[in-house]
Order: sequence, then C-alpha cells, then structure tokens
Amino acid sequence: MSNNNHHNLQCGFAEDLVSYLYDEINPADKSKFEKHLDKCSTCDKELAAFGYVRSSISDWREENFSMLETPKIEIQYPEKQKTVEIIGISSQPGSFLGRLRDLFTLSPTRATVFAALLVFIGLTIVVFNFSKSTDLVEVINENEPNESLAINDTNAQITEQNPVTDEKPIIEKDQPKPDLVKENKPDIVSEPNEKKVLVPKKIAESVAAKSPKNKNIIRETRKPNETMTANQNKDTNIPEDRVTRDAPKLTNFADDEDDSLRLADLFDEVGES
Amino acid sequence: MIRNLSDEQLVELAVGENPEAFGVIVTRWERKIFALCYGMLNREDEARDAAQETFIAAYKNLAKFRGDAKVSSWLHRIAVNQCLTTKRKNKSRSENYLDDESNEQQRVFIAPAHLSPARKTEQNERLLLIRQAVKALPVDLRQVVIMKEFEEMTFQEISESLELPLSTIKSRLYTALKQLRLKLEKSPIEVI
Repeated sequence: MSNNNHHNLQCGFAEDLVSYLYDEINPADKSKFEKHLDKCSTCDKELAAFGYVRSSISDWREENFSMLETPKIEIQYPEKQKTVEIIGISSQPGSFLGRLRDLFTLSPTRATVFAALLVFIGLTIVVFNFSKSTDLVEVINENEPNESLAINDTNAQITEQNPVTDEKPIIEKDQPKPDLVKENKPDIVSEPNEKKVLVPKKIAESVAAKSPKNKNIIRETRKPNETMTANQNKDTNIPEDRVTRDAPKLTNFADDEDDSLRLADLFDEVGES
Repeated sequence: MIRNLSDEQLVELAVGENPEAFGVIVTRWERKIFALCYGMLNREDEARDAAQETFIAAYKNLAKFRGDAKVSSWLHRIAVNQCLTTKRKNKSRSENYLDDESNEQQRVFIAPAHLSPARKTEQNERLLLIRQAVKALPVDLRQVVIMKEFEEMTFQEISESLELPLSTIKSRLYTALKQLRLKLEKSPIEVI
C-alpha cells in the first residue's frame, strides 16, 4: 500500500493517511501507519486538518442535504409499456378483471391471427363473388372457320363442328334462359356449322357489345352441377321438348307431388291426338 | 424477484421494454445521484432537475449502454455531465442577473438551536466556506469528494464506478482535501 503513496506527502504515507481517515485501511497497514504517526508530525497535522475539512463537509451535508427528500423521478415510458405495467398489476392470480383485460388485450400473436383471419374472409368473399359472376354462357360462333373468336378465355371449352354458316349474328342474352341439363343426349341447342364455346357471361357480353361483327349467339347456361326443375321452367317460354326433367324417385312417391312425365300420360296424349 | 437482480441484469430487462426493471435501477440509485448533483451544484432545485434529467437520459440511451461498463459508473458519468451542463447554463444566465457568488453570500444557513449566537454565526460561515471551497475544486476532484462524503461510497465502489485504479481515487481525494484545507486556512475562521 505504501508504495503507491502520493508524492505530495514526502514521507510517502498519503494514501494510507486517506485510508486511515475514512477507516478503510487493513489492520496491518493501520498498525504501520499509527507507528508512523508517532514519529511524523507532518502526517499528524495533516490528519487533523483533513479531519476538520471532513467534519465541515459532513456538517454541510447534515445541515443542508440530509433533510432533503429524494426527488421523485418521473420517466415518461412509452404508451405500450405503460399498458403492460397496468396489466401486470391487475393481472394477479384469481383477478377476474385482470383475466378479462388479458382476454381483450391485443397481443402481437393475437393481432397476427386476427389479421390473417380477416384476409382469409376477404379472399373467400372475392372468390365467391367471382365464381357467381362467371356463370357460363354458351357462345355460338357462326363466322368463317378461320375467323377467330374474339373471346380468349383459358377456361373456355371449344367444341368445333361444321365450319360455315350464313346466319346473321343473334344475341339471345335477354332471352328466356334455356337452362339445360345435359344427360348424354345430343346437344339440342347446337346448330350445324357453328363453334360453341362456354365462357363467362360478363366476358361474352362485353365482347358482344364491343365487336358486333362477331357473329356470336350467346345463350346462358349454368354450371353442370346446377339443376332446374320442370316447375321452375313453367314460368319461362322454353319449348317443352327442350326441357329435361328429373327422373321420379321410387321412394316417397306421391301423385300430387309428381310432375314428371309418365308413360301413362304419354299414352293419354297419344290417344287424344 | 426482480429487485435482487444486479444493475446490469436490470438494464438488460429494461432494454427488453420492461419499465419495472428500470424503475428498480432508479430506486436503487436516485438518492446517490441526487447527492452527487447536490454536491456538484450546491443548489437543491438544480440538483433535483439534474437528477431527473440524468435518469431520463439514461433511459433514453439504454440501448447504447455498453455491457463492459458498470451501470453505476455510467449513471455517475451522465450525472456529472448533466451537472456541468447545468453550470454552463447558470453561468450564461448569471451574466444577465446576479452573480452566483453574491447569492451564496445572501443565503442564510440555519445553525443548530443549541449553539450560542456567536457559534451559530461561526457555523454558518464555516458551512458557506466549505461549500464555496468544494465548488471551486476541479470537477474530477470534486466528484471524488462528493461521492465519498455525500454518497458515502467506499474507495472500492468509487474506483469501480469511475473505472479508475484505487490508488488514483485515494490520490485524488488526498489532493482535494489538501486544497480544501488551504481554502479554509485562508478564511478568517480559524482552522485548528
């Protein structure tokens, strides 16, 4: 310890003097320094003077500082952190209010799940609307065989038949709907010399409006899995022979409910004619 | 319990947006930092503001805190810088108003009631003198005196806080006490 003493004190006990003054000296150095004090009047006077300085500072502290209250430190924490603190206090075990707050607290995980759910619902609605708007219509192109259809749809189903016809373009968009369920019968709508394309209704309408030179006949149809009963077709002007009917079921058969064509009815009609 | 964690662990938690952890640091050090500011500035109101600003600055710069330094030394450095900033502001302000020294002279100290009027006067003068003497010390020496006398820190704690060798702390304190003694000896009040 004595080796590092400050040069201001020629005897070389400056650091020991300070350590002794504040009673932070180890016993061995303390004993050694006390022996030195007996012989060194400079260190003895210095120790007394430092003691007075120290007592003055101590008085100053006691008189003016000790009575002062510690200031209340106020830190402006971010809003998010304040919320965490409030929840932390209220979310004590068994606290109904705390659990309720936890339930409605929008944690990052919950927020992500909620956002994903919203996106999924939105996409579902869009897809549903799109599928509704893409009711297929049957476009019959009666142009020259090399005249390309003005409809370019990857989903279009093209069944090419005879190439040439002289018929004028007919757009039957607003005609009564000849909805048909195809049951492996010859296509009663199809005419000779026509191209038949199944395209979305909106596309067919827009093409027909923009390009009148295309000799397309637009007929609405429905998706293959959609059926229409004969009762529904009564309100329309569909020719009788174009209507296909559901086959009567053997179970739950009742005369007053069955409107399907029966063999007996056919015989009656033949007899009347 | 969070209160049993070290300062460095608390800072890590506070960086992770746990305000409670920083609150523990504030509670642990606010008295010492206030004492340091009071010793450095000699004014209660300024010391309060400086202590407040110290912790606000510390909180804002939590992310910049280097793990290799001690939190106490970091806080002390911020506090000393804050005190120096306050003193600079006061200096520029005092150019337009009354000088700080004249205010010091007018400040009345309340001596203990059991002292005679003569002793009370002497006590007040002595306190005024030591305040002025400490105030006149260079910052590095004053800081050590305040940490030792006002914060009541050990030499080892001051050494760790200021990241200086133990011998340097003792040497600085010795020099500071020597200068204070000389100031007091020049005063009309008799020093032993």
